[in-house]
Amino acid sequence: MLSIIKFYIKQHYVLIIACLLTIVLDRVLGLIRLDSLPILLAWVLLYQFNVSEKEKKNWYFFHSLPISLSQKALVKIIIPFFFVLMLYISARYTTLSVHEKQGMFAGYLIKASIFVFASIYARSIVSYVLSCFGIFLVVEIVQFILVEVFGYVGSEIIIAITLLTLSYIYFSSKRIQVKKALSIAFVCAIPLGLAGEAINRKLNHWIMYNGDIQKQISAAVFLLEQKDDHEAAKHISKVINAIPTVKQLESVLDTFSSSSNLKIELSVEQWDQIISLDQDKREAIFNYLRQDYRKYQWLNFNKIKSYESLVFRGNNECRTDCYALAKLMKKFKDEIDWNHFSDYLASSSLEKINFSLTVIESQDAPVLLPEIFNIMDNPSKDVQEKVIDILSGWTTESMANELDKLKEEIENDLGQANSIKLKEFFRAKLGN
Amino acid sequence: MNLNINPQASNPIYAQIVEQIKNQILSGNLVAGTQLPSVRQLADQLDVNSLTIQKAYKLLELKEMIIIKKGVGAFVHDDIQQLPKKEKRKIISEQLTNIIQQVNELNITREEFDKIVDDLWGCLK
Amino acid sequence: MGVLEMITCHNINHKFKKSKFNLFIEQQTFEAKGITAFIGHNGSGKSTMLSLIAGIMKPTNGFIQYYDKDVFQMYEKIKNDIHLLSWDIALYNNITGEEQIQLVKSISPDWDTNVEENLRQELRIPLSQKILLLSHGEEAKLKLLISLCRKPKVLLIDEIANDLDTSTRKMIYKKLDQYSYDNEAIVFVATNIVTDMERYASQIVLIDKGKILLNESLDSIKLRFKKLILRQKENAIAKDPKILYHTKLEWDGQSGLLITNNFNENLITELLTHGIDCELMPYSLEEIITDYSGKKE
Repeated sequence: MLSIIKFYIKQHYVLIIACLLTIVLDRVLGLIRLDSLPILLAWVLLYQFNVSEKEKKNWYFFHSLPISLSQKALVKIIIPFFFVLMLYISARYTTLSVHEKQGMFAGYLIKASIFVFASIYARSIVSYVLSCFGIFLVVEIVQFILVEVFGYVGSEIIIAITLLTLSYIYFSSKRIQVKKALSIAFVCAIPLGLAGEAINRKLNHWIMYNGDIQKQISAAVFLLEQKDDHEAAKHISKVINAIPTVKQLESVLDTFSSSSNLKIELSVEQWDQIISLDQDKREAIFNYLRQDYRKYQWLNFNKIKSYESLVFRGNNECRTDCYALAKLMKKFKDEIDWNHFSDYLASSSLEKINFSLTVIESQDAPVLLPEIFNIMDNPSKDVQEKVIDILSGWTTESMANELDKLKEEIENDLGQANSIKLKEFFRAKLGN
Repeated sequence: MNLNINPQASNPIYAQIVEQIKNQILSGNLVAGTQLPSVRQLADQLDVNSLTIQKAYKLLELKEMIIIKKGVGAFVHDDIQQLPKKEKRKIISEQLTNIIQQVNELNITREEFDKIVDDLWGCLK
Repeated sequence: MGVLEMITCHNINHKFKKSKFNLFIEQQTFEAKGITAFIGHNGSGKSTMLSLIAGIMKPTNGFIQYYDKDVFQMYEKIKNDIHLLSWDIALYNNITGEEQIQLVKSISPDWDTNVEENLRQELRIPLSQKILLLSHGEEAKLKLLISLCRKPKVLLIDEIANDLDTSTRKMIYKKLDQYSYDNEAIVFVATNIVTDMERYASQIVLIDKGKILLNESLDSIKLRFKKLILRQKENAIAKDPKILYHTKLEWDGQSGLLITNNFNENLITELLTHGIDCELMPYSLEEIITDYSGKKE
């Protein structure tokens, strides 16, 4: 048996060395930035090792040699599988973050098993290429179904084992009893998959409690994405204050909003604290709350109103967090006290005016018309445009044609005369 | 041993071999006790398959023209005389028929006859 | 004591990829020692038949057994006993013949070094050349050497000897004859060159359009297939012969030709009673096959 392995190494040493060399050149010398290169070479190696043997008719000679089916499978399936897996790990693994590693390893199992299965199944280069794509598509679909029950890691382990079993079945020219083999594969794969998934979770939980804040967040987000992990949710809520970057905070908040069961577990005081931190984070939190507001009972119009002081900085510019708060407030339109806004609209603060207009925008029925008409003359073009948009939104369809004609006439020149024309129009149609 | 085999002739090869060896034995070309080539040697010489040669030899052995000694080879039968056994039997049978008929007519018993044969056999040998 | 290796086919109805007809064999046994010739036109099913017997192809219907084992299902177990030499099973062509031999020898448990010695001497293959550079004949001899050293009980040769020169071919057939004689093995040879088989085969299998027309010993074929020249007997009035079991009969009243596949002594007697004299003509295997396949149309 050893002589067969030695023989094949001699036959294909060029590609084997090329695969290893590209990894060395990249890792040690940093020469090649294409970390797909070793994988591509491995794909070619598998073509040469398995597929071209069928084209050159050596495959059948190999099968006729006096070694058992298991020994043959070891040479043609298992060893190549581990070689490709090793390449994936060496080429890419160290470039990944911690939580990516856990996820990716199972992904490598699948990719390596797809390559190997395609090389066993295909009899020509065309078939090999098509099989790789075809199997990849099928795997995606199957994983989509399995992931609900077994999680990402679990489903990937199960699929990889199934693909290797199928490789063995085709390798034996389907002499192996297909049903029996697949049944055994499933019976072994499912506990392995569940175990893998469990180990993965345990690992991430450990990191979540023991790593630095970055790793904790990564691990927790990873867990949240896999399944509704309440423990992770709790932990994140605890450390949410310490999240260093807005981007991370946003990604954390995204995972919460994409799950219907998970919510951030903070007291109102803790919410207040985190909201008072900095502008960008505040914006992120307001955007999140806008999406997930139903989960949080403490959110109401008055509470939101209380955050206005944080966003009104008196420098006449409604910043991103100011707009975000406005949009959040809109969700509670049933509770809105419009008198509150009439003062704002009458004020000279652009912040407050823009804030108010944002809240009023796309309300079903007209509100505060007098105040709005009053600010149609506001020097800020933004304000004028906003007002026109709001008012246009309240016109009925029948009025729309007239409005369009009028707009054409004015051609966006909101000078004194024109604004009077518009005012007249709206007053006529809407005003009381 | 010169044999001339034609694979395309009507006769199967083994039959041709049997015929030709028999003729050679009867004509005296192959003397009693001569060793014939081994199956493999003859197959090689004639460019035919070994089983045919084996079959021919077995048939010749059945006809008692040759004898096959295991591990040694095939030999022309020691006792082969000018005439084959059948021929000999034929000749003696013809003469014996008359004698036996006379024996019966004279009412001589088989035992008496045997005694006469024994006595004469002793004398003549 | 020399139990025959039996290959039996059961209810084979196998679809070819390119042909209109199927390979159709209800029940056949191949058990003759020595060389069994598979004769038939290109595309008649010979190569497929050999691949099926070797267990590397699965019949679409039916099964083939080697003793009690299904040759396809049990391929891994019987592949040491049944060897197929064909162009579809290629040696690794960028190594030398010697390396190829060593490779197989190192993993073969029952390699016979005596056979190896003998074949090295007699076949005289250039073993230090890369297999890529060997001629067809030399490669065929190499495959033969590798196979025979492993002492198969059934050897299937799929036309690899066909494009060799006559002397090489004869040498190979002689080797096969010797091997099968010494080891009580069956050797199947698929070929169109009938003149070789007249000498070296003991069993003839005739395949035509996927059906086995004959599976019989060559001797038995030669005994019952006969061609006779007919002549009117002197001083006799020849009557039109009404003879049963003839394949072809031409008679113009005075002379003629009779071809039969059921010859026996009674035939001659019957001809004589019709006042016809007859004489056996040479009737080669090739002619027999041509006449017989033509008739079966």
